[in-house]
Formats: sequence, structure tokens, C-alpha cells
Amino acid sequence: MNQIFELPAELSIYTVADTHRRLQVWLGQQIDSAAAQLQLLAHGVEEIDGAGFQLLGALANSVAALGVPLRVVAPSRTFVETSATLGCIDWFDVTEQAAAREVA
Amino acid sequence: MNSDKPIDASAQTQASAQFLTFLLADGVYGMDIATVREIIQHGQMTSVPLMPDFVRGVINLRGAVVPVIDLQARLGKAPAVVGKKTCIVIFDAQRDGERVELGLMVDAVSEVIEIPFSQIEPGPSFGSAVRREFIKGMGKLGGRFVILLDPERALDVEEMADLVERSQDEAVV
Amino acid sequence: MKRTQQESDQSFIAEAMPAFISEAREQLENIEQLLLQLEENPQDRDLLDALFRCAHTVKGSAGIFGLMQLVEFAHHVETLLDRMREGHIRLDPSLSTLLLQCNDQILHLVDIASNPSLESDEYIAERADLVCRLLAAVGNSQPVPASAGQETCVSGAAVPAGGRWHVSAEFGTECMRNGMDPLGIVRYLGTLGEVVAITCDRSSIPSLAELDPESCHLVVGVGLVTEATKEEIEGAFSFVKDDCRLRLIAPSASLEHFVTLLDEMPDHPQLGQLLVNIGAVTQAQLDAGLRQQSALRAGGDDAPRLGDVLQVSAGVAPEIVAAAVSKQQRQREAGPDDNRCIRVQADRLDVVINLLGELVIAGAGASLLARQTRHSGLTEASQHMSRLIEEIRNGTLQLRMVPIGETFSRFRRVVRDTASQLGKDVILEIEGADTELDKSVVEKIADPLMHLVRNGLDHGLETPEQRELAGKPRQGRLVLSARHESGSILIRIRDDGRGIDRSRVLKRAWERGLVDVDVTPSDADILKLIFAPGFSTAEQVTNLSGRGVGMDVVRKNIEALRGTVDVSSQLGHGTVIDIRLPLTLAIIDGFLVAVGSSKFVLPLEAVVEVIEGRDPNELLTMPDKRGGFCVPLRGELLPVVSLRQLYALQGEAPERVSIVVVRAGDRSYGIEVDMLLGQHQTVIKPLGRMFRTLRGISGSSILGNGEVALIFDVPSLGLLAAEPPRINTRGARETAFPGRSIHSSTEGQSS
Repeated sequence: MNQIFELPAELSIYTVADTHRRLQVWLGQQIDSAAAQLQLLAHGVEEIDGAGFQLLGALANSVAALGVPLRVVAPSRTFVETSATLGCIDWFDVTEQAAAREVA
Repeated sequence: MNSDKPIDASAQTQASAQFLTFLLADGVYGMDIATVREIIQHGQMTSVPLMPDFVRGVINLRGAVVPVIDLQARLGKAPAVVGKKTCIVIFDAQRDGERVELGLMVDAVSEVIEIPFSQIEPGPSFGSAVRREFIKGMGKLGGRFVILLDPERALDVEEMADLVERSQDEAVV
Repeated sequence: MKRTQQESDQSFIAEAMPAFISEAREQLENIEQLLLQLEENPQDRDLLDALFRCAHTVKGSAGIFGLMQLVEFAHHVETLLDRMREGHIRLDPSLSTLLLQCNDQILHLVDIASNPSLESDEYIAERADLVCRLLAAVGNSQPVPASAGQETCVSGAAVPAGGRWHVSAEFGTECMRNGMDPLGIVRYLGTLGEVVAITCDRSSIPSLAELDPESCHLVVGVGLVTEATKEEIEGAFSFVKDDCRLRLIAPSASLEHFVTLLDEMPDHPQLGQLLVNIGAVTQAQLDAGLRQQSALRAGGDDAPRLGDVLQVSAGVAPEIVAAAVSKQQRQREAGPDDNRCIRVQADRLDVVINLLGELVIAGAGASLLARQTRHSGLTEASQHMSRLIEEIRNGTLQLRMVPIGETFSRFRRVVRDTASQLGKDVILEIEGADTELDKSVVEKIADPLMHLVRNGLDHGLETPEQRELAGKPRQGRLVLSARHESGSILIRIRDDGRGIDRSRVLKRAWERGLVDVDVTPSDADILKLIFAPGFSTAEQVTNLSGRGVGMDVVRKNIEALRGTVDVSSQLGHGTVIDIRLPLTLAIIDGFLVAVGSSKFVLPLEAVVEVIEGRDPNELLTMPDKRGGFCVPLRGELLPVVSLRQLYALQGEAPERVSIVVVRAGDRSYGIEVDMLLGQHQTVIKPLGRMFRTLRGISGSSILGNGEVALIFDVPSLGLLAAEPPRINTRGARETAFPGRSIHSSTEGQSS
């Protein structure tokens, strides 16, 4: 079962609706398989805005309710800088680990 | 202190002052009426043990306990004998900004008289049985002299308190 | 004639100033205590937050009153406190001293608010110095924000032009759909200055399942250091203004502080001015709002309240307006004060207590009469009344009691500063801070205590080096303690210093002629010498304790409170000073006795038992010179005082006498009296200054029949009876005690 969700290159107001749907499906699968932790692969993120972070924030809220950690893995420079600018860097557990081998 | 009249205005503008005169065994004495509150009959008095001669005791003045000084004894003479006309003059003594009520036992109270300052001479430099600093001066009235007391000196609470302390030290065996 | 804005303001300020000053002083006292506590616990976050809040409150209210000097100075202090809260600066002793000195300066600035003549060049120079040191302390931490610019250490002029704003933005749900990106707006803010802090509140975002990803739920809080004006900052949000709830908090106050400020502000009918004063709106906005309001009124519409108008035209945060409006409304409906405390004028309380004293006497008189009627209903009713009177009395006496801890706390600062001035390391410990005593006693004991504490620091405690040499810990201990002890309060000052050197004391006493050179008094008497007038053993009279205020003045002050002071000391180990003061000043439960024609009152709590029906001539032991003797009591010998002898009272002893056994501390003794007159609740009247040295007697009381009876002080009566007799320089017994009886002296002579 894959635990990692790969974030798209653009996570903005224009793509949030689609990403939202995919995230919901993914989250449902993880819950069913009682995943021990959830990871977002952010190395491909080239563009992200308020809407994008809001989506991630909603995800983080849901995951927190499960009591399972949500990790952002190998965030791109853009991701890191933008999350700092908006003040949401503490929403996620950000690690620099290389992406896990199991990528969907 | 909180009177509407400025202090001493009467004295300065009118060049005289009013004095309450009273009798002690050996003469007529007076003191400035300004600090006198009232005059009461000699009555029930509570003695305080081991006091010097001049502390006659304390009385209940409408709920306040006021010490009574035998003025004659205070001035260095023999303690007074209580007679029919013996009165207690209640006046305000001031010390360090604190107002203290004292009672003065006198043989009889005479009248309130006005003595112009021009008629007040300095007290005798010797020959008087009374301590010099206790006397403000001698007021001339008609042919008589009234010995004007200086209550601040004669009835200085601190000095009397020290004497009270000492008399207890010298207590009876 | 309508008053001008300025006249209203001035009268508002004049009326409210005393309250501001007294409350500011309280806050500053709190700050001092917190700082001292913080010194001991530098990591305590709660203390730091509390400290910040106090400082903030003072600064805010000062702003209302236009005390700009105070606001500017306090601003610097706050900046430092802010850095400390963020963890960039650690509290160390020098910083602590700096803050304490700043607190003093703020107190001075509060004082000059009501009395400008107190200002002096010295204070101005000190203020400038403090500001420089504050800036230096802050400058050593985080990089100083760019907008702070060149600070010059000129008095009063060193406030940075801009400052740190807090921008709180709740973006409206449609703003993203309308094409705006909150992220972009935040980026733009950053171009106005420097974003020193930013948080985005995740909790306002729904869960993944509930989220509509194109609606906006973002709430952002930004700390922005900028020189931009309020308008310019608002400009960053101009495109989302309709969708966004924006709150700007100016550098000098915080939002909840605004609301709190409005609450604490004295009522002022001019709502608009209120809001300008707290910086929620600018003067221009206020004027525009007023114009709009009058235009609407002219147009015949129901003039909306100024608060509403401002909100529409200026984007004032609704909470602020709501608070100000409710403030106005409260002014109209005078509601009950829901504070738990009320201030009471002390002399009004005294009037009540005096009346209560009279009530006690009157009640006792009525009870007596009721008993004599033998009417059971009346007797019961009067007993019920007596019980009620007693309850009221207990409650009322409590009103004047305050814990001594408040006074003790003030000493922490004194000890700290004095010890460091003397190069000593001393810790002050306080025990029994909640021991209560009468308010007037507390006020009057503070000065003597201060002197004794200073004395202990100066002469008693050694320097750390000296202590180390003596094998003691480097830090000296000074303990201030208070406790109740059988009707008195015992205040003890204990130090573990060098103790009192008897030989030096004696030498000095010989030098000063206080004791004859060939006399060596007992140890206890030598110690008492330090209270003799004209005495000082200090090698150099230091500035602190030796300046003309001798220990004899301390003793006199304590005695004036009907108290006693005792010293005990162990050379090399330390000194203990005990101050005993009477506890209640007003009403006493007493036991009335008569000797001869005199009546005396014994405090009931000291009376243990009564032995009646003794033959006065039956003596089991030889009486001592003061007429004291002993009687057997349950196998032990009880020393008994003969009041008749001790006080040289007149009259014959009756056939039968009684002995009242009393207890003082852990000792008991007996008092021989003629008659027992029973229990008596009486009002204590002080005997006055002249009798401050009266031994064995602590006051007087007025009995139900108007007679004055003296009240015994049981411990000191015992001491008096035990003292060795002194030289008798008086003549016959009659002159020693001028009672009511006839004098044997001749009639007045001389002329």
C-alpha cells in the first residue's frame, strides 16, 4: 500500500479542486489500511498559493484527528519558502529524507 | 488648623490676645485661649500608679481618656489640694504634628481677659519659683501681674513622658 | 454654551487623574515584586507574562491621559520585556537592576503627572541614561529592525519612528474566488517593512471532507515592523477590504488591550475621541465620521451612532466600537460595582469602630439592668443582643486588620539594594506574612522595622569573604517573621551575622558616660544599652543606618505603639530582635478586679484561674522587697505579685483577698487583689503619648459606669514585679502616689 501522496507541480486555486478529490480518495485508502504515518512528497512543487496551503491545512486537520503524523518529504525550495511566507510551516512535519521508494 | 481665620491674625493685626486666667495657690496665671477647649468640674478621677507629682490621673471625657496634670506641681510647687472650686481646663497640646488633649487642674478659673502685647513684659530672670522657660511673660492688668504660661514648654508632652518614665524607675520599694 | 472638546477633555482628565495615579502605583508595586521574584526564577514564563501585562496596562492608561513622556519611556521598557519574552534576552542581575530602576523612573513619571514641579534635571538625566541602557540591552539581541533608524540618546527623543504593528486579517470566503490570493497580500505587506512574525491559523480551516477548496478560510496574523502609517498598511488590503475583516493594532497597544483600556477608562461621553485616543482611528477618520454623522442628521435620517458611522467609514474593529459603546451605556445605567473589594476611607471606619465601642458599653449596661429585673424574657432578649453585638464587633475589628506581608514585601527591595551597595550577599526570608494586625499599627511599625533591617544589614551581617573565613556560607540570611502570641503580635528580625560584641558595647557605654566606668552591668543590661540615647558602635557611621536616627528612637517609636523591643544575640552566630505589639486596639474581654479604691482590668485570655478567700496576712514565704511572695499551687510554687505593694496603693487590705493566676508566654504568676468584679467587656482607650513608658499597663478602659480602669499588660507586669528594686529617691509613700486621698503636705505657700 502506498502511503505517499505526490503533490502536483502546481497547487493553486486552479488545481485545488482536482487535488482535493484525489486527496480525499487517498486519505480514505490510508485510513482503511490503518497506515501508521502519512507522507506528502513535495519535491515537485513549483507553484503553490494560499488556496493550495489551505487545502493542505484541511488535510492536516483531518489527519490530526486520526492521531497519525503527516510528513512532508523532500520539500522543494518553493514549498519551503512559500510556507514560511504564509506562516504555515509548522503545520507539517517537514523532513529532508529522500522520497521513499514506493511512489504511486 | 482648619479654622477659617488665619492663625495669629488676631494677634498680629490687633496687637493683643485673649487669655484665660486662673488661680493657683500662689497667684494668678494665664494662658492663651486659642488652645483651650473647655473647662470642667473636678470629678471622678482614676489614679495611675507610680506617677510623678504632677500627674494627677486620668479622666473620662466623653469617651476619651485624658490625662490630668496638676499645674501647680508641674510648676515645681507642692501638689494642689482639691477644693470646691477646683477645675480642669482641657486644652490641645501639639507635639510633632499630633494633637494631644490634656487636662490642667487649677484651683479656680477666673475670667477671660484681653491683654495688649504692649502690656506684656518678659518674666523675671530670677527669683521666681517657676522655671523660666515655662513663662511667656508677665501681663500687666490694672495693678496686678498675670503670669502668662507658655504651654508648649510648660506642658511639653515629651518632657513629661520622660519624667513619667523616670518616676517609675525611682519607684517605691 | 457648549463646552469645547478641549474643556471636556481637561475636566475628564482632572477627574480621572487620581484614580489613574493610585492604580498606576499599584501596578508599579506589582511590577517591583514580580521583578524580584523573577530574579529568583528567571525561567518562569508566567512571571514574565504577568510583568509584561502590568507594564502594558500602565503604558496604555498613560496614553489615555496624554502622558507621552511616560508612554515613550515605557515603550522602551516594553521592547526589552518583549525580547525577553521571545527568549532572545536572558535576565541577569544587571538587567534586573536596570528594570528596577526603570520602574522607579516610571513611578516618578506618574508622580509628575499630578505634580509637575517634582521634575528636576537629575531625573531627566537619569531618564536619558536609562533609555540608553535599555536600547543597548535590546540592541545586543536580535538585529534591531531597520525602521528603528538612528537612535540618539537624547532625553525623551529616542522613540523609533515606526514600530511593530500587529496585523490580523480574516480573509473573507469569496476573496479567492474574486481573484485575490492571501499569500500575495502578505508578500506585499512585506514590502512595507519587515515581517518579524507571521502565523496562519489552521483551526479556522474545516476538515478535508467539509472543505470547499475554492472558499477562503484563512486567518493570518502578522507582526510587521514598519514606518508606514495605518493607512498605508490598510492599503495593502484594499482589494479585499470588502471580504476581509482586518484589525490593525498600533505599536503602542494590543487589541484586547484596547478593549480592556476602554473598560478601565473613566467614562467619557465622546466616543470618537475615545477611539482616537487609543489609536483605533486617526483624527482624520474621526472628523470624517463626524461630518458624515451630521450630514445624516441634517438629511433627516435618524443619526446613526458615531460608533456605527466610524465602523463603516474607517474599518474600525467592531470589538473596539462595541466596547466603547457599552462603556457609554453603562455610564447611563449606573450598575452595581462587581469588584470584590471596595475602598473605604480609614477615618470613616474609625468612627464606626468607636460607635461600636460605645455600643458594647451600652449593651453591657443594659444587660446588667435586665438581669436585675429578673424578667426572663428581657434577660434572654438582652443576652441575644449581647451575642449579636459581639459578632458585629468581631467582624468590624477584622476590617481594620491587614496582613503584615504587604509591609514585609517592601523590604525585599531594600534588602536587595542595600546588600549590594554594601557588597554583601544576603537573602531575605519572610515567615508569617499573612499574620494580621491593625492597619494603623502596620503603618507605624514600618519605619522602625526598616531601620532595624538596615542596621542588621549594615552591622550584623558580614561580607561574603568574612563569612567564608568564619566557616559560614557566603550568603547571609535575614529572616523577618510575624506571629500571634497570646493577645500580641510578635515580629522577629533574625540574622545569622556576627552577633553583638558585648565588650565593644560596654566600652562605648563607658566612653559615652552611659554607664559608670567601674560598673559592669549584667549581660541582658549590656544588650539593652544599644537602645540608650546617644549610642552607636559603628566604626564608621555609614550613610544607611547611622544617620542620626538611633536605636533609641526606634525603641521610642515602638513604645509609642504600646510595644516592647528585646534583643538577644550570640557572638559569631547572629542576633534576634523581638518586637511585641498589642493586637487589637479596640475592644477587650477583660476580668475586672479592685485593689483599694482602684479598679484594674486583666485581659481575659491571660487569666488561668482564681484562688479566692485567702488571708492576706498568711504568708508562706518571706515577701521580697516589692511585696511579692509565693504560694503553693498543685505542688509548685507560684510567684504572686502584690499590687498594693508594687503600686504603693493606699488603703487597708481587706480580711480576705484573692489571687488571680495569669499566664504570660510559658510562665504563670499570680496577682493578689482585694475584690474580683467579674468578666467585663470593655473598650480599650489608649492612654496617650505621655504614658508611653508606663510599665505593666497597656491601656485604659471605660467601664459601664463611666469609671476609668487601667488594663494590665500581663507579660510586662510580670517583668516589673521580677525586676530588682532600684534606688528609692523618693520620700514618704504619700508623695509617691498622689491619689485621691488627702496630702499630708502643707497648704500652698510662697508668693
